[in-house]
Amino acid sequence: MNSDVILVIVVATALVFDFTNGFHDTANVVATSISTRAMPPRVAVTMAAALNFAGAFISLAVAATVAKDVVQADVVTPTVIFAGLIGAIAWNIATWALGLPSSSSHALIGGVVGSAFAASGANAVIADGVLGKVLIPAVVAPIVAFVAGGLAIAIIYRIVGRLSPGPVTRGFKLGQVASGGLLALAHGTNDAQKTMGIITLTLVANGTISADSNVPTWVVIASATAIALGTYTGGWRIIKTMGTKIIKMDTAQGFTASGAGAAVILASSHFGFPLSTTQVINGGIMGAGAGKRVSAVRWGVAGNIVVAWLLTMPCAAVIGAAVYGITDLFGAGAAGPLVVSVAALLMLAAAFVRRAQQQTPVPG
Amino acid sequence: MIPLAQIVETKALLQTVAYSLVAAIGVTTAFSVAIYGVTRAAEFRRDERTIASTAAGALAAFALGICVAAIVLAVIVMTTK
Repeated sequence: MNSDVILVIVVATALVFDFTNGFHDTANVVATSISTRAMPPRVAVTMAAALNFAGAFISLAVAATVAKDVVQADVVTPTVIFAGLIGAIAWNIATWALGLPSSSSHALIGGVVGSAFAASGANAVIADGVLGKVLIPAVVAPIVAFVAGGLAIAIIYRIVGRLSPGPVTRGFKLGQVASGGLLALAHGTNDAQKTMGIITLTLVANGTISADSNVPTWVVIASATAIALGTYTGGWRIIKTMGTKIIKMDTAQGFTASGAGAAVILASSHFGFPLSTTQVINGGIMGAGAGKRVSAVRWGVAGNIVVAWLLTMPCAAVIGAAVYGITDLFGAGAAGPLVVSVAALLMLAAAFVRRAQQQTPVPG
Repeated sequence: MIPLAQIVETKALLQTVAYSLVAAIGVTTAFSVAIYGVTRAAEFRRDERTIASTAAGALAAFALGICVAAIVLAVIVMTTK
């Protein structure tokens, strides 16, 4: 009974994380299309949600591999996973409130690393894995995307620079629809699988399914639905930052950022080095701006985004460790996760009420 | 202490960087060549320069073919990973 309660709490928390993942990362897919008016905002977000949903069904190959290279498998318990998820959700909500695009995957890995560290000490963390699989790619991703975006836009301006702007603008808008669709599909495939992996891992740890079982169908449908709903809800603050605050984007730059971004993400995925979608698209936007004119990039905004990237793993890890510490105070049963879940829901409700009150116009 | 080169799969990382750059620049260049071809073909047609228009149209079709192939390859990468 006790383990079933924990199971339900962890599954629900994983789906909430999946929702925030879609919500937070909508901007990666639609910001450039909305900013250049390639698609109306609601159409762009609906298309992204539908393709995220479809993407979640495309492949299940890596569903069970999340976090396996960064923490020792034997320390991963449902409570460790729960604390890690809360760390990731908290960081996603904090960065959304500040309108800063940051990697949901890095937040999840940071949260799990922090909670595993709090549960079993430094030996629980595979330092080589964290460095080789997460930190080095996190440095490489934005640099590659920046260089690709910069070089691509320079070439594009040379090719189409003297043509009449009407057909060129229409052409790049069409290109943005296609590249945005590919990005949404890739995002659904990659990120929904992380949640499927987390839920499957918890079901195995709880003894509900055996270790060699396939991912249950209800897990696939629930994860696909959660990420699609999150995407449809849309993190408009982050869309605004990416679409209008980093650079003032024309259609060629919007296509370069999303087209080059999709190419970088899928090429790296093919070679087994999947890079963060958020970092690639933002690096691509900055590169497309700098390729036109270095001063076209608002470097202050870009600097804030880079700081958020640097802080993502450590902050999610600290929150994950703190949450594990709190749950541990209540013993090994379901009481700890239950208390933390209720407290988190109350804090969220209070934040929404406060926001609603601030938005209510003063009468008369 | 383990050398950094052993922790990071240097070859895979360099391959990733090289192919990412080639894919990103290749696809965006191909698409802009397609736009160039379509636009120029329409201009030549207006000027009744049939051969030039056909050549520009063929260039656009070839470049678009590269883009479609890239999309198909991308979907294959997603489904086989």
